[in-house]
Amino acid sequence: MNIEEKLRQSNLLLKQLLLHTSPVAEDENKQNEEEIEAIDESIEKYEAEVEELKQKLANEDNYKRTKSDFELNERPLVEELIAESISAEREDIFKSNQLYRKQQEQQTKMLGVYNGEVSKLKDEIKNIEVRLNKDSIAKKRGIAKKLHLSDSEVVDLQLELNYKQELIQEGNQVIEICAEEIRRYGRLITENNARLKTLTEKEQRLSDLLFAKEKKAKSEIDKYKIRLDQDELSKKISGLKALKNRKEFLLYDPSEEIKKQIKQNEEILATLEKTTTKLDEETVIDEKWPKTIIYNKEDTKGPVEEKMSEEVQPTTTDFKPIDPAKSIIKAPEKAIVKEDDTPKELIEILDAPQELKKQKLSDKVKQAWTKWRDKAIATAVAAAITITAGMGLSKLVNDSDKEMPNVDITHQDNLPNLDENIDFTIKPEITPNTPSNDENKEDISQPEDFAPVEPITPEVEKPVVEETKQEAPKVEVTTPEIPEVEVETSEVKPQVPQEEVKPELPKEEDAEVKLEGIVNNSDIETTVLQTEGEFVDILLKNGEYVCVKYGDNGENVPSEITIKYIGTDMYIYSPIVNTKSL
Amino acid sequence: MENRINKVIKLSDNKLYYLLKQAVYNNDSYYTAVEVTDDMQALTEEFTLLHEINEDGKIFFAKVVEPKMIQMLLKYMKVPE
Repeated sequence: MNIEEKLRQSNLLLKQLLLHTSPVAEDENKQNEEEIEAIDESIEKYEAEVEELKQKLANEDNYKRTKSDFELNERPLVEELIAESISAEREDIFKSNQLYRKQQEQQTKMLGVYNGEVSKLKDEIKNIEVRLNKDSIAKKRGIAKKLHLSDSEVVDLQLELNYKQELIQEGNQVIEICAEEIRRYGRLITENNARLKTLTEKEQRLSDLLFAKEKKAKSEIDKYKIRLDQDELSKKISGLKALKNRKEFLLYDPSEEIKKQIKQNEEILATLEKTTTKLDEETVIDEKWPKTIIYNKEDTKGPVEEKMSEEVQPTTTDFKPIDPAKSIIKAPEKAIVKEDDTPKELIEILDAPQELKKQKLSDKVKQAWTKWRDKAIATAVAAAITITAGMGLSKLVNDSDKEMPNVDITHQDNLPNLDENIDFTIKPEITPNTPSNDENKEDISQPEDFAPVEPITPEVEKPVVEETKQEAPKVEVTTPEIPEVEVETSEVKPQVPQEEVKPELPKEEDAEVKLEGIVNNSDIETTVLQTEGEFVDILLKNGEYVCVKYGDNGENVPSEITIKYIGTDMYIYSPIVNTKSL
Repeated sequence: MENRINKVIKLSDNKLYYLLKQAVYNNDSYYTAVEVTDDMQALTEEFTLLHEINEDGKIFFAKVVEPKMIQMLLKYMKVPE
């Protein structure tokens, strides 16, 4: 069933469905209307709320935080007072320390003066004591009368001695007092330093607290409130959507949808017909085909389709030949050829370095090759389908039309059908054990030309196969060069009277075909050959040549071909000789 | 119909191709080839199918683009051996 038929059938079903679509009951309709009214009111309310929330969310100023009196006034004042207090106390400590140090200096100076005085007094006392001692000794011994002191002089010296001793005593007291003062001021300075240290610590703590307050300060925008409103908004939007869906459901009229679908299908059908017409015109390009193709489409009409007969009317179109140069549709094969694919001239042929040969056998290259191969096949299949679809759209239309002349629109395709047997040879790799192909070049003989088979008309019931049957010449063992025999036939296409049609030939038994390839002497070396219409692998197993062929999935399956090895050449004998040369 | 398997060809666009497999169809040679780096020391992952064309004694290589031909060639050309 082609696309047009499917669309038509779909339309028929849709129309039947339309007929069976029952109208809504009156009371149910009233109930629905009431519900719709209520829904409309709710929708209006929801929409207003949604709009309000959206506007609120659009301006962040709506979410600014409000600060307390403590945050705004008290706290900064307290912080300021503490900072001032610390500053004042530090200043006080510095001042008192300065004073203490000054006092210490004065006391130290005084201590130095008294120490000097005491030392001087001690020397003087010592001199006095020496004088008195000399006087005493001179008097006792009655010598050195000049040294004798009078009694008054002795008294005076004694009084001076006592006086100086008193002065020393007083000086020592002052010295003690000064030392004590110096120590006291030292203690006061130490205490002040301790206070200063504590004060510095307090100041540091205060600074840390202020920094932390700045750092941890909350954003001015209350994001939590924003999130709450966003949640609320999404809830309201969901609710709004649900209300609209409900309203849509209540208002839904399937018949309208069905009608719309039917109309769409009809538009597609009309487009398809236009496209088909263009492609059919393209098929006229080839001179082998009739210059005028007359379409006479008559669709099978069903009970409902008869009603549609006005819409989908079988058409009769008379197409005139189209100048290929003016055709807007390119040949599909040409269309897929890219500019880059133009032939490139061979500049140089080099022997591949050993490194490349090693890489060729690596798993990485094999995997990449397999991946590329699969992709290329898939792409090729897709391209082939596109070409067939493009070229064969008219054929699709015509398939259902038995009265339409069956035009083989693939007549321009000169490429082989993959399902057919192909005259195809895979060359073996040249290895040190393999003689060069150039040596065998002469052995590769061209297929023997046969007289062209006369085209037959569809009226011919049986093709005269005896006339085309060819006996392949037997191989002369002593002759190294034996011409290869290939029987060329063509597939019979009875539907196409204009084309040369060759009758299908029967298979010939035990024909002899020359080998186009060399088998290596390794245990299992594959050489793929072309026998008559069949690909085979020749495997050398245990000294004997075994022939296998490829199955549909690429696997090896036993082949009926037998192999004969004669001297340097190898011949294969195949029961199949019917090569379809394309 | 020369056997060019394991040969490296240099084409007019200065690309180097290492010929992995060769097939003969209608007396024309087709190759599975992989592009080679300029220093000829490594294979790239750029595989292609090439068709050898002989015109007035000059040899050209064209990429095979016909889907059916690609299918046919790849059906019988297996993993590099």
